[in-house]
Amino acid sequence: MTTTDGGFTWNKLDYAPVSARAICFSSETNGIVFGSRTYASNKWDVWDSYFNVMINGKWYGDSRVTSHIEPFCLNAKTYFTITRDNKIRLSTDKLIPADLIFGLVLIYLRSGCSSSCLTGKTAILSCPEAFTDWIQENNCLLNKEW
Amino acid sequence: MEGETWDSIPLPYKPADLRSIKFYSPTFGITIGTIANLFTRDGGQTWTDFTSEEMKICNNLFLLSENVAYLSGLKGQLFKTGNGGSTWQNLSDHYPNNIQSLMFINEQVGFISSIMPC
Repeated sequence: MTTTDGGFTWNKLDYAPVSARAICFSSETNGIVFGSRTYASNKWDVWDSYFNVMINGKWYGDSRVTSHIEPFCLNAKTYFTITRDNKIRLSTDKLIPADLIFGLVLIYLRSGCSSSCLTGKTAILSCPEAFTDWIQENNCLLNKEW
Repeated sequence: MEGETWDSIPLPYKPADLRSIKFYSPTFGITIGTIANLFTRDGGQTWTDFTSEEMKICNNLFLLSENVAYLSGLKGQLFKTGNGGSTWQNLSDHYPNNIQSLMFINEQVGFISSIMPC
C-alpha cells in the first residue's frame, strides 16, 4: 500500500507482489520489493527469497534470490543479503539505466551468478566467490559505461 | 576496520527482548521490543522509553530523518514522531495486521507491505 498524504490514507499498489517482506523505494514509481515463498524442487520444497522491481510504475522481475532471508535495504541504492551458500554480498552505487535491467539480469545469470538484485538505478550481485574475481577482472557489469 | 571491536551499553530494561534497532545517524536511533520502545539521541549512551499503552508490541520501524520516524504495531497501527521520538502521533489504526515492512521517501509519500492481503 502507498500513501501520498503522510500516512493518513492508504491505497493499494496494483499488481504489487504478495507476501512482501522488505520494501525499498527511491520515488513514488521506482523501487524494489523482496518477498519469500516456497519453491518446489525435486527433493523437497525450498523456502527462498525473490524480488520484484517497479520501474516507472510498472512491476517487473519476480526473480529468485537464492537466499533464506529477505535482503536488508540500507537505502534505496544498497541492499544486503546472505545467500544460501553463505557467499558474498556485493553492492554498488553505479547508476544503470532502467531499460538495461533485463539485459543485466540475463547476463548475470548466464555468467553463473547465483542471484542478482537490480533496481532501476542500482545493481547488486550475490554470486559464488569465484565470480568475485571474474567480476573485478572484467569489471563485470558494475563499472562499465552504458 | 570498522566494527572490529564492540562496546556493551546497558539498557534500562532486562531482559529488553528487542525486536529491531535502527539508526538514522551516529546519534539518533530507535529500538523496539516487547517490553519497551526506546530512542537515543547520543549514539546509544542513554536511552529514553517512549512506550505508551497503545504503542506496545510494535514490530517495524523506519527512520526518515534526524527527527522523523515511523513505527508500525502488530495490530495495524502506524505511529509517527517529528521530534526524534519524544512524542508520537497515531496516524491510524486500521492497517492490515502484521505489517512486514514500511518506508517513507519523504513525509508525504510512503509504502507498507503486509503478509496479509491489503
